[in-house]
Amino acid sequence: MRSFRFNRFVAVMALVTSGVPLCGIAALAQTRPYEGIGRTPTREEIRAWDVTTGPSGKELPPGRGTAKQGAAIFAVKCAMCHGPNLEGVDAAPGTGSFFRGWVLAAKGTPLWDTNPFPGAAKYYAYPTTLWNIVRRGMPLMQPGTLTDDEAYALVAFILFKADVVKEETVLDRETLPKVEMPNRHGFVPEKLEDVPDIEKRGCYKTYGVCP
Amino acid sequence: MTIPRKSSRRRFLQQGAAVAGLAAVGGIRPAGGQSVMPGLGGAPGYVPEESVPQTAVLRDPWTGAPLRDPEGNLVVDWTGTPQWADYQRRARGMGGARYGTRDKDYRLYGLRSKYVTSSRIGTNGVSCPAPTTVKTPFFSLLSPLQDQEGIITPTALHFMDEHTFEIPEIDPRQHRLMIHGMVDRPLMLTVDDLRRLPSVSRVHTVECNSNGTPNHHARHEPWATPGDIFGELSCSEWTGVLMSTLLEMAGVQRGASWIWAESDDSYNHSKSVPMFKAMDDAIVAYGQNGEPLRPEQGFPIRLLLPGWEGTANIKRLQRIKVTNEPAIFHREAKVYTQLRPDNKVRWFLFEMQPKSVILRPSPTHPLSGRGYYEIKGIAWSGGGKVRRVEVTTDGGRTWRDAQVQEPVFSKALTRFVFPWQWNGEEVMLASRCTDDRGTTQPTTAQMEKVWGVQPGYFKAPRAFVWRFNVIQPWKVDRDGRVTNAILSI
Repeated sequence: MRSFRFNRFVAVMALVTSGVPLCGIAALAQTRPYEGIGRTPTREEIRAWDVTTGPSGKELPPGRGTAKQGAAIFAVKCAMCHGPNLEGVDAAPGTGSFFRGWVLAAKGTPLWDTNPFPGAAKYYAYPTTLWNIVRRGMPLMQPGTLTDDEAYALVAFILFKADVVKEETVLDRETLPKVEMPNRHGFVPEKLEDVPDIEKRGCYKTYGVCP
Repeated sequence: MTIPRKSSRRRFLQQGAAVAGLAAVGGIRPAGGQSVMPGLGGAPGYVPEESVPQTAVLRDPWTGAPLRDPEGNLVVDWTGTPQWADYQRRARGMGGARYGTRDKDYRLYGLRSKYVTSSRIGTNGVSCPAPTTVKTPFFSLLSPLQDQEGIITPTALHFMDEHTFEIPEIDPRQHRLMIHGMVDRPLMLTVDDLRRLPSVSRVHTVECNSNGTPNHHARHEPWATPGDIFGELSCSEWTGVLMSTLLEMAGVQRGASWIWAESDDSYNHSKSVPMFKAMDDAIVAYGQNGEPLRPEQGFPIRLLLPGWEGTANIKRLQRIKVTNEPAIFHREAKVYTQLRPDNKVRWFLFEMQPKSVILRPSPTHPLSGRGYYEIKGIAWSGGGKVRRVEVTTDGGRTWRDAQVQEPVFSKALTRFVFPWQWNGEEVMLASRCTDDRGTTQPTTAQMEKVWGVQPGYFKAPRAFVWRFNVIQPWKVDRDGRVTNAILSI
């Protein structure tokens, strides 16, 4: 990391001064540290995998979907594990499912020791988490096979069933990250920029257990 | 000692006899002239030069001449040859459980003694497709720590918590690692590419977030062994490339503060990792305990974040995205978060706390009579090296230092021993670990205070109590029997 920063410094200085002798150094700084290893991925290769996003939603692709469209897709591709009413499935004998699907939407909020799990949509802090798991992680065993439109529609359907958005709400790259989740303020630390600072969060103290 | 070379006449007769004998039974290919049956004399694996496939002969890269050993014999890579396939068939056909059921002869890939039977402890939950009566909602196979000798977990006994329900069989020649996002030079690397890069080999634990949690039913049972309690823990020598090397190669741009690591499995399990950890000691590993990773440990490559919760050590790593925010994937937004009595959820807890456990004596290793015993155990911490281990033989009233044994690696299992005379009385044994950051293991009362719960709260199995590093006591009765005395100290 240290030498890398130095290289950048040299490169920037070369650009700033535009001196002829320094141009050679700038070119040198652009060579990759371990020459001849690996290749550059193609634009298509990156686009195929680069479909998960942070809360800002900056990676979200074009496309759109509504709860009404999502309901039809859900019935075919999701309900066998998550239940027709998003209540989840326990793979008990006779349920017809090998796998246990999460509760996606139920009544209530996450409360200490009282309520049962109210579902992913009531627990997640950001709507983009739903997008990530739907678009890149589901359906189980065939992850990443849903199209962008299908994923937008399914997220809309799940959020509609959890009373977070209206049935006619259209989700796309603009509207999806703006959805305010019910449990948005239920997390410690709440600010994402505080998350990596576990020393400041007090997680190293006494027993190593974050307060 | 030199092996006497047989005359070509004798070889001819041998082959002829074998071919004739087998031809009578039917179905033998005469071209595989090596099919000398055991018991006919001579070396059963001998292959005459004319039967060696030309493509399998190793050659001088300059002259193209076949390589020969000092005795003048051809040097051959038998992989994929008909002779090797034939050998495998015959090895299986020789009979006996050790010989006959394996692809390979134990002399080529070793097996343990038939008197050693320690194996992973299964806790099949409702995610398990096979019929089961166990209700634990988790599919987990624990390492039998009670039988562990030394600090390295045998690879075949490494714990398995599989998020993906099915372990994919990945061809390493097809596997790719893509590094992209906020980098100057996006990269697509093969496993062979990784092996060309500067490498490290380090001893580290992998430990599940839930290791030792009081919400697993077995945790409260009197018969619970160290494996039942802390079995989501293993320690290996990991060989691979530092993540910092790869990031330096790709050229991280200003402002990048996170990487997202993604797996190639049945739901592309992913985690966000802060840049400081990625640049510190994160490894992209291809080797474990001197051989390639096992499929259940992430073959062909996995991410290793020493000392951090197991789930972040992404197996079958296929993608690294460099970015400036956490993605907040499902397994950091819901699973692996911690709801507390104030109704707030703690998330991104990352590091594992100091823990220790006495392995001998323990429920499956009771005391056979009064007298001398060496108390043996393991201690570990995700925060660094184990600095000190104390042992109590009186239920926590007094603590004395145990001997911490070399080698002591950071974020790795560390042995401790404590000489002890058992007087035949009822006693309670326990150990307590302190790491080089000064962090130590709490008593039950101290943990209840940290959590802000009523005394006795942890006695009932709870749905979500993670990061539980309370001191683990064993109760020894007058007969020398040892039982789990959880929450007694």
